[in-house]
Amino acid sequence: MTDRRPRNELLAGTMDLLILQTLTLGALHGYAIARHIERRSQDTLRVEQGSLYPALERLQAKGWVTSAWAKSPTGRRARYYTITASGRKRLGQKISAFDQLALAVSRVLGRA
Amino acid sequence: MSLLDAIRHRLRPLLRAREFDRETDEEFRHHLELGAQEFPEGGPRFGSRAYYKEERRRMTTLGWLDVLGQDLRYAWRSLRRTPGFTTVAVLSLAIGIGANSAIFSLIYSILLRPLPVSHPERLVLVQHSGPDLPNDEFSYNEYRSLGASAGLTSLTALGGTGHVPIVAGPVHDAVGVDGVDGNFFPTLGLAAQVGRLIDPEDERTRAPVAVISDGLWAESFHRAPAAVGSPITLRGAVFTVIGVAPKSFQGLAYDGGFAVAIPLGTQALVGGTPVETGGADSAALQLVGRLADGVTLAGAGTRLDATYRSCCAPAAPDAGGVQVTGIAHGIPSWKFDVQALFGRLLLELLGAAGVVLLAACANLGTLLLARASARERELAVRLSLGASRGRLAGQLLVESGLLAGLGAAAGLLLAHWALRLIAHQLPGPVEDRAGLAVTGEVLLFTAAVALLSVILFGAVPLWRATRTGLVGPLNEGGRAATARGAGWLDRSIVVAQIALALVLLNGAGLFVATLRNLRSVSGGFSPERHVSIELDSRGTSYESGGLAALSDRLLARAGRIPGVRSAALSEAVPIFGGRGLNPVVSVEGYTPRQDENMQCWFDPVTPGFFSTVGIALRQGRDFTDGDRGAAPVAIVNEAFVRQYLSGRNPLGATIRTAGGRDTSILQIVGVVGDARFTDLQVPAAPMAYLPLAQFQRIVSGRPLAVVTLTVRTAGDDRALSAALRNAVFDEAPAVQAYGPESIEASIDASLSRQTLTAELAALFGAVALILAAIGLYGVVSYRVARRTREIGVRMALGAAAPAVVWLVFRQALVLVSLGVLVGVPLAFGIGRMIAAELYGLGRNPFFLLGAGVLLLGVAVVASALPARRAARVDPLIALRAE
Repeated sequence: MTDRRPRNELLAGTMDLLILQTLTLGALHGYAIARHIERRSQDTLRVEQGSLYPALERLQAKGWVTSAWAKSPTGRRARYYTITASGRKRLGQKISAFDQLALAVSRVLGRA
Repeated sequence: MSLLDAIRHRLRPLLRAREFDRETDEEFRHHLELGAQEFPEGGPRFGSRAYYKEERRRMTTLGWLDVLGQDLRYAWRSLRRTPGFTTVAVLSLAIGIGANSAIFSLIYSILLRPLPVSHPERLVLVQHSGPDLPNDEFSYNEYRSLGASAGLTSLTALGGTGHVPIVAGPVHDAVGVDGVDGNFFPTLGLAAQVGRLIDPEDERTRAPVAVISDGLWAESFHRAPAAVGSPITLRGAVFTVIGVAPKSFQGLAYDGGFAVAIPLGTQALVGGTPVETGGADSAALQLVGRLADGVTLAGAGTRLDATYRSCCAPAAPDAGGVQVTGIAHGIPSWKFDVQALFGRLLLELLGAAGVVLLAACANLGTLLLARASARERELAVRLSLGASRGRLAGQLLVESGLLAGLGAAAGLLLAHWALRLIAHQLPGPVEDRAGLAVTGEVLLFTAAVALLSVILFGAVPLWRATRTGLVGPLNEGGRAATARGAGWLDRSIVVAQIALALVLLNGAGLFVATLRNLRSVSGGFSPERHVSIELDSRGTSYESGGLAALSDRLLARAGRIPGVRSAALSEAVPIFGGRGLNPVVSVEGYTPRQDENMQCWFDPVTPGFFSTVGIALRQGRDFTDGDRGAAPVAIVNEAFVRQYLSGRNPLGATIRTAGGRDTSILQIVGVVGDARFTDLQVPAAPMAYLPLAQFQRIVSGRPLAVVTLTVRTAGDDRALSAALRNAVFDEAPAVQAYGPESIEASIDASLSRQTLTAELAALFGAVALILAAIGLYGVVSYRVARRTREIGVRMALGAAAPAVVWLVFRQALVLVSLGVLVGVPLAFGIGRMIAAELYGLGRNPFFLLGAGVLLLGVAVVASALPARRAARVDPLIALRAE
């Protein structure tokens, strides 16, 4: 069997971080999560379905996110994702880890 | 979210696949719709839905489990696409696996299954140690003294009676009754299924109570709980049923036979030995103990031996000490040692079953090889599309596993069916014991065999798959890629298969011929229409005086039974067995060679014995009543005359015996034909008969303790059996009677092993032949298919149909000839190994020859269809396929 994890650990970890952060706003469906990330990054970050939904599954499997079907404002049925308590805890850890990483990268680049 | 939720989340795509897929689709569509609304001009964010779904599936499940499910479904579909292949493959495997399961089931129930008591491996039987035959009979006093010995947590005694008439509900029959000590059932760790079992209090009060077997409960009381408290009559004495033994408990004897247990102290009421009448010979108790924790068999034996020597040995200075032996599988019966009789045979049969499995696996190998070649293109395409080799190999393995699973399931059915057939060939006690259910152990064994077969035949396509090149099969348009390369593999498999079939067929021929020879052996007596009943007076009031006093009355009474033509008493009866005497003799006028063993076997008989049993009188006269008080006389067999009196007139010659109290001189008054007493396969040794009436006086000096009454009947043996038993009970109420049994049935039992061998060997031979035919057909037709183009070219160039047909046949004949060449030395080797099991065959190449011819015939049959196909190849079509 092939290795199914994205080769770039940073990428996967960052996607998780972004999704968890986004979900602190409240329950959102997949498209809203993607759009939120894209808008907040001023369209610098593109979120493909092919990486968004597997990431959401991964987060659910780890118990950091749960989901439920509900009616969306457009009247359609949609799956809404919610961050769990353990997800929030994890988010804190991930943010501090990212800060360290960002700081380290900046230092290497000579900007801090 | 709890752990449980997490697991449920992961399992959802597996358990509710359809719903999962639908929701995934819906979510995906929703995403796209929202995207389309926001960016009507379209955007770069449309991904592959299939990839997404697959990716999501993998993310969420216990990866391998899901992949396995997929592979199983894929394998199932691909097997269903080729029903012919699947049927042949599953049938081949079912035969191979079924044969192994059936034989293992026999081995398990006959050799391996432990007694159904708690911790049977800790149960031991106490035996006298010494050079004599294993003797496990002890007196009550010895039992009491040994009970105090260390090393055992408990020791219990088991007495018993011969066949005793029983009246229980509607049942009027004769059964063996076990007298058991109060701690017998507690020692075994058994509990009653209804009521209670005999306990020490019953033993102390000598209450007339009885524990009955499950079988008797069903027969007499139709399993009604009200059986407890009901009376049963044993030899006229009334006992109250207090409980029913567990269903699985068939007694401690290896061959079962448990019917009724009563307190040891009451066994005298039903004709058993009174337990407290001292004397080493008088009470025949078997002592069964349970090893204490941490005590080994040898350790317990040493301690018990010390106790025995201090308490009991002085009474019998030559008796030696005691030892213990494990009886986890039951106490072996001295008369019919099933384990010795069948043990080796069953292992040999397991070997043959293994060979059959190999042949079946070889078949699967060739079939899968052909299949793998046909799928070479498919595999190459999938490889080039990015499937990993590991993934493909996994899929092929799953397919093999699925085949093995189906084969094992069908094999179990076959085994179940075969066991029912086989069970009838087994002698009674074994048939009873075998029970022959497909137990958990058998299931486990079958699973192991199936796994082994997957490893054996599954390796072939795997090996091929890993060698499949990417470019070759695609470039060549999928033709002729393996015409040379791996072609040797399937052919060598078929050659091996033919060789195996040859070996098994040869073996089958040898065993069947052996059985036929044995059946036609004249034992020197007429086996039909005899019934024998054995009378044992040891431990009874007859013991001191012997049975001689009884013999006239018994014979007269038996002779009056309607349907009895003649009756006689003897110590031993042909095939039925018996003891007899073995004194050292000297024959007048014969000088023994140095160190020649001059022991001669004597059977004491009454007048009329020879005509009753059907032994021919060749010279002189039979014994008469007049011999009773007269001078000692003897009748010898022809082997005796050949050995000791060659060239002389035997009548009037004398035999001097050194046995007994003093030397006796017997005058030979007659010569009879040779009769085989123990084994039909063993020629008769020199032996002599003497009048039963002279027995104690002349040769032995001991009273006649055990005698067999044999009657020759005019018609139905069964009705007569009951009358005969009643006659014995009336005339000799204190004597233990065993039987009646018919001599014909004894012969059947004595041939049961050979019958079983011959039938199973024939079965295996047929199976191997079928498997070889299938394998040959598979290879030949596969090669014809591969060579269609070549055949087309040949025909286009002017080859006639017969030449093409010969091309195909030649191939098959070459393969079979090679197989026979390989098989012949193998068959010779195996023939040498089983020589001891054969009878009257010598070095007989006939079966090998026959098997070879048969296989050549199979070659013709198996290649007929492919040959027809080859002859019908249309050169135009074959070449256009380019």
